[in-house]
Amino acid sequence: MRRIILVACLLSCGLAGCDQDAVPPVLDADRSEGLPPNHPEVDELRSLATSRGSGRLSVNQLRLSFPLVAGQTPDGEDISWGNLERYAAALGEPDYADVTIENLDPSPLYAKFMDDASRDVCGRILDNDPQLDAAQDRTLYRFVDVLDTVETNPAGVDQNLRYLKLRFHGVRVPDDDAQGIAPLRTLFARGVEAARGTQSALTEAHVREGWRLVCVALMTAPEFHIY
Amino acid sequence: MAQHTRRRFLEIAGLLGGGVLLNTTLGSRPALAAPPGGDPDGLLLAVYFNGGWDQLMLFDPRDHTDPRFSTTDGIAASGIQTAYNLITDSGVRAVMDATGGRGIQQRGNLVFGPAVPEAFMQHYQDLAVIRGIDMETLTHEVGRRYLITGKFPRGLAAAGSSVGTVVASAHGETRNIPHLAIASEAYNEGHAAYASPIQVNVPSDMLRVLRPEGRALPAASQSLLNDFQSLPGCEAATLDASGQASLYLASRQKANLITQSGDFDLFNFSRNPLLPEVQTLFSALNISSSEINGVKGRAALAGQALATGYAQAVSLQLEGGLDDHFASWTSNHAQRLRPALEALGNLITFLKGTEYQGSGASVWSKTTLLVFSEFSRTPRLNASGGRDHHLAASCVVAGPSIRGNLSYGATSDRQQAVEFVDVDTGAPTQDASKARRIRPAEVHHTLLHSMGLDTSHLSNQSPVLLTGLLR
Repeated sequence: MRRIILVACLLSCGLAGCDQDAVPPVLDADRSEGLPPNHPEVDELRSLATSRGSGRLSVNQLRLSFPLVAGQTPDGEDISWGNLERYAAALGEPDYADVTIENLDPSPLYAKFMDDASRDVCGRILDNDPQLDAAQDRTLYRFVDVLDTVETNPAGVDQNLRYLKLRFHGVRVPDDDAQGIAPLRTLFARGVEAARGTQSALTEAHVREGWRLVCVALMTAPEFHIY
Repeated sequence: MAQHTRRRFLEIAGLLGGGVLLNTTLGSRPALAAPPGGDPDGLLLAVYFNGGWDQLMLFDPRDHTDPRFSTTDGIAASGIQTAYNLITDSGVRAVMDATGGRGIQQRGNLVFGPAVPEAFMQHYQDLAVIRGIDMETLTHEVGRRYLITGKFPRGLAAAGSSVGTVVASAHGETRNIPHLAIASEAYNEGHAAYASPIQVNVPSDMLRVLRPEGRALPAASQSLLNDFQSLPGCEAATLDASGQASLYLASRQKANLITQSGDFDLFNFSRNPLLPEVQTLFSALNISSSEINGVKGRAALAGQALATGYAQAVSLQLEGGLDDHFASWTSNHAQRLRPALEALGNLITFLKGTEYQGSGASVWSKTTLLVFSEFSRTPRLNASGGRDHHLAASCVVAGPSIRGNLSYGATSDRQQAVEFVDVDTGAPTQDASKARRIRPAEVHHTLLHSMGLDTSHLSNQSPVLLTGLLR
């Protein structure tokens, strides 16, 4: 278990490391000028400023979120996780008979089921997207073709990644921000290469594996589950 | 300490193979005072019987040949009606025959009713029976949650955390599943997320927890994903004001470790063939493949979770369907209680015969046990031939620092009412300076104290320590 503790510490340290750069600009230092008399220094306030408390998605929010993120089939059917209702109680949803308060702990059990959910939902999206003629109806192949890679269509891949970051996490990555999508870009490229292996010809299945990885990574990220 | 590795499993497997031998050497409980802050290896098994059990059949019986409890005039005067002669269960009938119609089974200082099987009674030297617990409610949900948490509920809603959560949270995140809840309600209020109960209903649910379900990623993709997830993005920091993102990331990492460990076959009760250590477990609990979703399967799952070090605390609803207000009491109640207590007795035997994590001591020697129901049933049959809800309950406890072979507390021979006791002895007393009422809060306070754990969460219940229960 020392490994778990170590990993948890590393994760915490990782997030702490982000704090200095990524804390939302709650107060602007430029506003120090013109403050009322005896007003505390803005830097002093900044050190006290925290965001609101964050929380985990409820089961009902998951119920609504999966179709919004995953899209619809050509028949207009929502794409969602097939086991959501089955595991709703295990995920904390109250039955209002025995349990009246929803458990919103981001527990290992929740994370495990969300891992299952991500692989299931992403697989369904990948099955569904090729059946949709219009690009604006697709989810994972919004701005790319089924054979596009970082090498053959870098601009399209980047645009697609920006779109997915917005669609899954609600985070807009500006066009001039390459760093914002760099980890996903690398994951996609490596996923394609790993699937391709030693085969000389690139196939749709290889590229599909790259997008599957991106999808699962986005759907298991804290940005998806914590708000 | 509780790191769970393949080597550890092999060690356990080898030890389980010699379970019978170990049973003779590991089973005894040394008198242990829990270290300050509690024994990090201290385990908890909280076993709940849903519906309200009949204490006359179990842990607070009366002699059926005593005319006060079996004749019309006696029953009218005492308000207690054993009615053992009406019970159709063959096991109870056999006890009645063997005891000359008394229905009382004596083991050491303990007296058991006719529905308690030998498999359970044989552990009497380790067990303490607490009688005359004032449940302060006749509502199922309230009584259940009172004994699950040790705190009187807010309306029907539980107040506070399950005792399993309290124990699991005491020593940090040292287990894969610190608190396993099997078919049982369990709560976490104010404790760390890792101590939240992971809830399963049947053994196959455990597999759903332990192994990935549905579409799998190719190994190479999974490896890439693991690498990616090990470096969380900075956006997560903006969501971490209350530590929720960090908790989620730690939980995700832990979930990955569990599901990618490949250990799930230790809990695969349908595997063909079973792993040797599962086969040993099945032999100890006398389970057939058709029984894994029943009482025996739930008991086996609890035993495996504790024996493998996967869980520090197990909340187990072993049996239900005990709310016998009608004449079905004669054919239903004992038929449910006897197999469940037999499974529990066999589970204790298994824990006694299994070495804990290479410690040289048995799993049982580390285990604190609480067996309870939400209340008891009226000592007199109602007009429908069943029994209604009754305030004075009993429970069974055991633990490294709990005295065994002990009967503590009492109910009266009139209406089976709660008796106030001297907490140093557990005997009824009329001395107002010593007389205390036993409530669930006292039971929780004493059990947690015996484990060396903090009980401040119970402070608003003002519990009294039941000193006579402690070694």
